[in-house]
Amino acid sequence: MGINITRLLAKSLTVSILFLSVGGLGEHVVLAQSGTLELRCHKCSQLIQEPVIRKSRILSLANSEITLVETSRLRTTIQLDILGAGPACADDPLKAIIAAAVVRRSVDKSGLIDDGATADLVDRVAEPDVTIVASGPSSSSGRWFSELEGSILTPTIGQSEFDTIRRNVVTSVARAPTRPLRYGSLLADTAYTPVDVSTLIRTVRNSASADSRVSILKWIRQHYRVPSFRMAVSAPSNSSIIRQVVGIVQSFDHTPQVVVESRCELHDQSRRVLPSHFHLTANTPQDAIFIAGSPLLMNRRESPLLMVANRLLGSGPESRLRRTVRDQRGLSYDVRSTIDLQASGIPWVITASSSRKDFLALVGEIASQVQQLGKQGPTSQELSWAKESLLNERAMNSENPSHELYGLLSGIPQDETLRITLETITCSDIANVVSEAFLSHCGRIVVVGSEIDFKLIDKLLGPICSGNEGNVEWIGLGELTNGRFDSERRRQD
Amino acid sequence: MPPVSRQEKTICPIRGSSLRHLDPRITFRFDLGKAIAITLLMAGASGLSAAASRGRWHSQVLSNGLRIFALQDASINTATVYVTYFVGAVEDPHGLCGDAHLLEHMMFRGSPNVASGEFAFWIREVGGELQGSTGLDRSVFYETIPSTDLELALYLEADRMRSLQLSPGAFINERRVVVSEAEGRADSETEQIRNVAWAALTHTQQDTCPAVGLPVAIRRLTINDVRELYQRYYCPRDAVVIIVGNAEPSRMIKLATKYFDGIPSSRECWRSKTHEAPTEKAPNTPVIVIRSNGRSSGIYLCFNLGSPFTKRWYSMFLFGRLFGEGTDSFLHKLLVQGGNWAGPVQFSVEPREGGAIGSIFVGGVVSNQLDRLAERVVYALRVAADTSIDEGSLKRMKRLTQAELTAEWITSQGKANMLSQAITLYRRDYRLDGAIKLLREVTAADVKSTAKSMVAESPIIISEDSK
Repeated sequence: MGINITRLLAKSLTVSILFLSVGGLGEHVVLAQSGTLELRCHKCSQLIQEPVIRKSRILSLANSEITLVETSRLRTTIQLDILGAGPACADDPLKAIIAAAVVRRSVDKSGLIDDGATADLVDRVAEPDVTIVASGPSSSSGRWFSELEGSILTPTIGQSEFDTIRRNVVTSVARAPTRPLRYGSLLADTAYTPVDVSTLIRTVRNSASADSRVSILKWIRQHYRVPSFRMAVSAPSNSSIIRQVVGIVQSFDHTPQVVVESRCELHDQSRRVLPSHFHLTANTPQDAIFIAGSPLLMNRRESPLLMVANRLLGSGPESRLRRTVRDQRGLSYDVRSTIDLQASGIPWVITASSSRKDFLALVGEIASQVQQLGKQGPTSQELSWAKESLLNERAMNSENPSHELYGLLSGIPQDETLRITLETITCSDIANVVSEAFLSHCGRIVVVGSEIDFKLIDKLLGPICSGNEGNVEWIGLGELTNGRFDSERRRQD
Repeated sequence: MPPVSRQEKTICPIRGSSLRHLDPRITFRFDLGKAIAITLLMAGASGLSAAASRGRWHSQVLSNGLRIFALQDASINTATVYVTYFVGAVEDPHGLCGDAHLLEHMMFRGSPNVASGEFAFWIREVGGELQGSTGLDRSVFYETIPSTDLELALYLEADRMRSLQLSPGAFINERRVVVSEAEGRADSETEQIRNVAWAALTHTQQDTCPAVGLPVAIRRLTINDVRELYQRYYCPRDAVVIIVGNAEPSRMIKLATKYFDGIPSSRECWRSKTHEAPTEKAPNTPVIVIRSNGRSSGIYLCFNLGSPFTKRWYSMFLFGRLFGEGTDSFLHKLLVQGGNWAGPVQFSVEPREGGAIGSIFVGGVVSNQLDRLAERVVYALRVAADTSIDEGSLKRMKRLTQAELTAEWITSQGKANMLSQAITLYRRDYRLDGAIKLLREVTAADVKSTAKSMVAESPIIISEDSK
């Protein structure tokens, strides 16, 4: 305890420091000196004077990045992404899941964890990173920050507690097939990773992991100490966390160095290893389809473009998919597209479910809408609306620390840069990015339900995912109530 | 593909106006508790109004019976408008389970002034978010927008309260959507179990219709069923509007009055419930529901947390967490140590009129072992009552609970949610500092006393078979 996270990481390497420079140099460069974060009120020429954020800055330390947001809040919030420590990057994904559970438990003891970010570890098997969000009163932030870093870097855990955690993780993995829709979603997510979740589950089923507490703690020491992390801190200017972090960073050499994200390379492997279609035969109340777009190899600076594109495709009530599939045709309650800007390869997944009799119509309508957006792009009115809405939403999110930190770590600027970036986005840009993700080759198509004719699905999808031919894998989930798994599994090329 | 649906004739009427033009004169100083009680008492009396504040709070009853509460928070830049109608699944006519839920969906399908889909369009354009939900005894709508756009949200909410348009085409589509939602909602079984448990805990008759509805019943609903429910319950006399934002409360109330005051309360409109405040002391007999079929097979240990925001409530809450929340809980450890079992143990609290239901779900066993598991849960409860509470665990749980309460209070939406629960469910004020003070006062002895009171009587055991 009591060891500053940046100091500890810095000690393990020869470190040089770069303060990302935008607009000027100093000991640290202020990226968004926003006494007033100017964000538009829609067309009414008023400005929201944002009093919460005073300024933010990004500091870099070797392969790591620290974003400090100085606020006037009484509460301090931290999001820490430990890059490459997630199951998707591990040789043994189960080991990484158990390790994450141990770290989570350790942090949880501090009473500060916001478990929304670290819950459902099994559902995060496709994640390359481990994310921890914690918040606590600013008045004692120095103390609990020390506790937090200690519990992440050197977790202490007894044998019986470890056994409980391990057993719980193994059981959760083994029981994943009892939730077919979640399992389908997981298969779609793993289109972007080399993890074969089916194999993982079968391995666990057949022989539970023999990992010992010692080997897991050793694994944590190896993988959680590698200085490759992203951290965002939202705290008052006079907070001891801010002083700690800035002080440590300032004490090192200021030689500029290019920041490298040391992530595992995920997307290329996944294409080679895994089939492009999955069919989960399960007796579910509704049939469901998950279409994982082709991995987008984009820079985080392109986050605003992707957010706008996702907003137009399926992320809200005004999106194409919601308006047509749900509002105009009533085919599905739950149709949406989601994009994870923090993950490598940028997973972009369309999800929809419907009753059996509407399912083929649902697939056809989704295909038609995606094709139209990918070929013609949005109308200028739609695009302009989406930009304005996004800009205003960012202003709203600045009130919520966890939203704010997620945005920051996703590469979304929080100052005037966002408006400037948005202004450059054209209708063709949107068409291109949708086309790149969903027309021609897709990452994966997963269908959950019974009596699905995949050839018919392929036909209905038509021009979208046209490169994903054949190579279908069926997984039979058996009866839901007893969780029996692997009643049938075959591959058809 | 047409552009986002916008009717040319629909021009949002409040563009360019600003809250600062409003008259901030209305200020009265009452005791808040009394004010809420008086306000609610006077709710049905047409022509009467009351206003109250204690520093931050203002409330007023309009001539049509609508109750408005406004809270200023200078630390935020957003505003949340939270509208509660006292109609939920219990009002669904027999055999038409899902009527209230379908009506909640239709509230986004337009009016003569706002086209279908435009409600979300306007709110999202200013960066806001919106949501509607249907519960057992209420339907709730909220919008969170920049404070400068408060008038937009008030206009839209008042508009659909006044003149919802129920067009046959939109109705048929939305009915399909709600059927789709009901088919896909795994939690409706859990909700039904809670309904059964709540009926046993409160010694009441309870229809077990899930709020989301049943697909077969939703398909039978007609546009007239929905219209009837709208006319009877979606009216000012049966609604509460809560506004939290960075503006003078008097201004917020005046603005709300501008849009809501002219909405008539029809003769059909009247509240069907007594809305009495919950009693301080709820019965402590726990209820165990054994669910032996369906997606939610397992044991549900349910208990009544009683009147919220009291020291007793927090004692019960902390006991629930320590006893049955996750792998670190007393129950999980006891069950795991007692055998090769590691299924989920989940604790949750759901506010209900007259109290709150705490439930601990224990799953991960096959059907023929459920009875045995129920016995072990009862045994665990008895052991917990005889075991001293670990001070370290209690301290950690109090810290965690305090962190959650504080995090909820940061945003206007969180504030409005908490205040809505306090006012519409419990007829109380809610203050964060007061809640934290009570939480801190809870001792290990209080928690132990809670455990002892729960084992004083044998649990009521109910077997539910979803076949």
